[in-house]
Amino acid sequence: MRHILDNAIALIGSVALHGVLVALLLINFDWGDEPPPPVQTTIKARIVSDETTVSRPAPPAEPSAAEIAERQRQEAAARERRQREEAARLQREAEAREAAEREAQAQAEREAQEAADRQAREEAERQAREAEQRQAREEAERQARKEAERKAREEAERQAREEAERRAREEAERRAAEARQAELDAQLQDALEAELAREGAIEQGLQAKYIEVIRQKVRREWRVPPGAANDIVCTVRVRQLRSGDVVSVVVSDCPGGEALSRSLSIAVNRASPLPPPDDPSLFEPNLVLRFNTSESE
Amino acid sequence: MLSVAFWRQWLVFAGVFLALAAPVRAELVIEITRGAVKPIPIAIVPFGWSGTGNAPGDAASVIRSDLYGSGRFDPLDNDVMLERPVRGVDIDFDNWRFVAVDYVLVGRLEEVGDELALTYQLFDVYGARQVVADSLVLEPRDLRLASHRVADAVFEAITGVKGVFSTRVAYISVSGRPPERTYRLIVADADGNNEFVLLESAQPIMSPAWSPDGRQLAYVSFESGRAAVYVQTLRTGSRRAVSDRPGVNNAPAWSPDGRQLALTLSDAEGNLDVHVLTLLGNRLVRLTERRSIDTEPTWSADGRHVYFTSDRGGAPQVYRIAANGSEDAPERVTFEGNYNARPRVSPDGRYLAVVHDDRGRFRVAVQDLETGALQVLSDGSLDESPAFAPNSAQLIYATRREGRGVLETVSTDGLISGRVKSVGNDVREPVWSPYAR
Repeated sequence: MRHILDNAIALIGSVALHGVLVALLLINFDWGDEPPPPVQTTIKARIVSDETTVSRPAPPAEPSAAEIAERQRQEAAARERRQREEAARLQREAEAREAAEREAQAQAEREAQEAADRQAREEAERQAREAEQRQAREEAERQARKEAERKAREEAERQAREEAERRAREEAERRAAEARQAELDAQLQDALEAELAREGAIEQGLQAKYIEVIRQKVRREWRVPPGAANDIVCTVRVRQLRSGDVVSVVVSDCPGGEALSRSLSIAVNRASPLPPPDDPSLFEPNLVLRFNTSESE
Repeated sequence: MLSVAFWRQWLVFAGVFLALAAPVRAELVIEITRGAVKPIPIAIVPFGWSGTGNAPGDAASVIRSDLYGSGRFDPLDNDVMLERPVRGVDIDFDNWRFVAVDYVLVGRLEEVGDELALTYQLFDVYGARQVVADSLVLEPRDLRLASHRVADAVFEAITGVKGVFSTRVAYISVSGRPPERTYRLIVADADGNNEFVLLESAQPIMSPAWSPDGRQLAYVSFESGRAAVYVQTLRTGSRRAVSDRPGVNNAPAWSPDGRQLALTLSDAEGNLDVHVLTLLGNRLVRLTERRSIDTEPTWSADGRHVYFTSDRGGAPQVYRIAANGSEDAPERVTFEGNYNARPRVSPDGRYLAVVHDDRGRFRVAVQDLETGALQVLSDGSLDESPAFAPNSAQLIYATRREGRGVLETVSTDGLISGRVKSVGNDVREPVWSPYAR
């Protein structure tokens, strides 16, 4: 602020000095109709100075010849003196003015220099300050960023930790729940199996009885070929309708030859329709029956 | 102590029978006395005929009789057949399921120039599938034999056992009353038809034995006044004495390769021993040398051993000895009971048939040669001379019914029995032919 104030004082000073010089000029040489130089040109010191050097013709005299001559001589002498004085004054003034101008210029230059210096300094300071500020800002930003990052990291870590913990907790809970469920299921399954086994045993017994009834009917119809060896076991797969009518017979695993296989196939067909089960739910459309050639009739 | 039954046949040698030749034609009819519990129902549809005039024979009838006579089939009566197709394509299986037969046999006889073509097809009724089919070309006079062959094929396809309907049986027939008796060696079809008298004599004829190729018979004849072993070719009737030694020449049995005969010969003291005679070269090897009766030889299926009856242990039992004479001591084979005689080995080598004293009754029994288990098959009291059918599944033997000698059959499993009825004459010593080669 101080620099600005200094500049303002210098400026006012300069303006005042120029104003005095112009006033002097106006007083002494304002003979013509020429308008006074515009005030606003005060900063154009050099131009004002140039104008002041312009010579102007003196006004016409009207005295006698001697007088006139004398006066003319006197006047000439006076004029000469004045002219000399004026010249000296002018000289002094010019010198002063030049000095002033120089001084002003120097002052201006100094001031300009000072201003420039100041400006440069200020600029440098500003820049330094700005740099400093920027640096500080950057530092601050960096710090802030680092801080933010740290915080973010910490936050992320925290969140991750929390998430992991949460998950672990949930997993543990889930497992615990599953274990509980599994135990419940197992208990249920055990109970179910026990029940099924109980029912199954009954049903299997009934099923086995049902199939044995069928097997016996087939066996009664079976004519074991005399060529078949003893103790040959053959497997017969039978498909039947609800009515007991035999749909298909396939004799497999029968190492007794074609005649033996055929004899079983015929026996099943002769036994058709096969006897139904006591309980219709026990009906089995696909039967696997085994026969031994040593089964006596 | 030797039993009376064991000696009975040997008494023949002591007797001198003078008899006049009195040709009386025997008639054999097989009657099933015990059939399968569940005989297989089968329809044998009368065969078609295409040719000039009437059909030269009724093939279906022969086949039907064969299958029924086996005791294992229950042929459907012709008059309940709902259709009578002669070709498989014409069969409506529902018609046969309706009458509950397992199988249906259709066929036709066609005249092809001087010959006949006999075509048959056997179907599984429930499976609606052809089981076996063939076409035989034959001369008209062989129609009966061809029909038996069809029966054989049908029997085998259904039972898994080769049929024996086309085979033959040789036996001895005795007619007349002493001292006018006639002995005949007769060969007939297995169903008793086509009897053919091979030899007729006023002197006893005994122990016929088929050669393995079925072309020759060996037998014992007393025609020269004493027992001699002869071999006769069936087709030509030519014969020769192969063993006519002083003393006893008896019980010929062919080796499986047909090159040798096992015989019973007596030495100077009348002691009977088993010998093996090689026919080509007339070479004789003595197998047994004991002061016991060693007789009734027969060969093992592989021809390496000879089984025979011996009383060396006190009572008649069956022993076995190497056929090449390399063994001094025979091995005893039968142990159950105190009388097992007249051994015969089944062609498949599994069984030994014997006459077994079953609590005072002489019956046919078979011993499983692998397990040693003995099973009595016949139910008479004087059953003798068992002989296996070539399929090993059946036996024929002689017995006495109502004072006469008759022939009976029994299946090796003991389930089926049959009787060969003869009219008028005593028949004895049946022997089943091998398969024709």
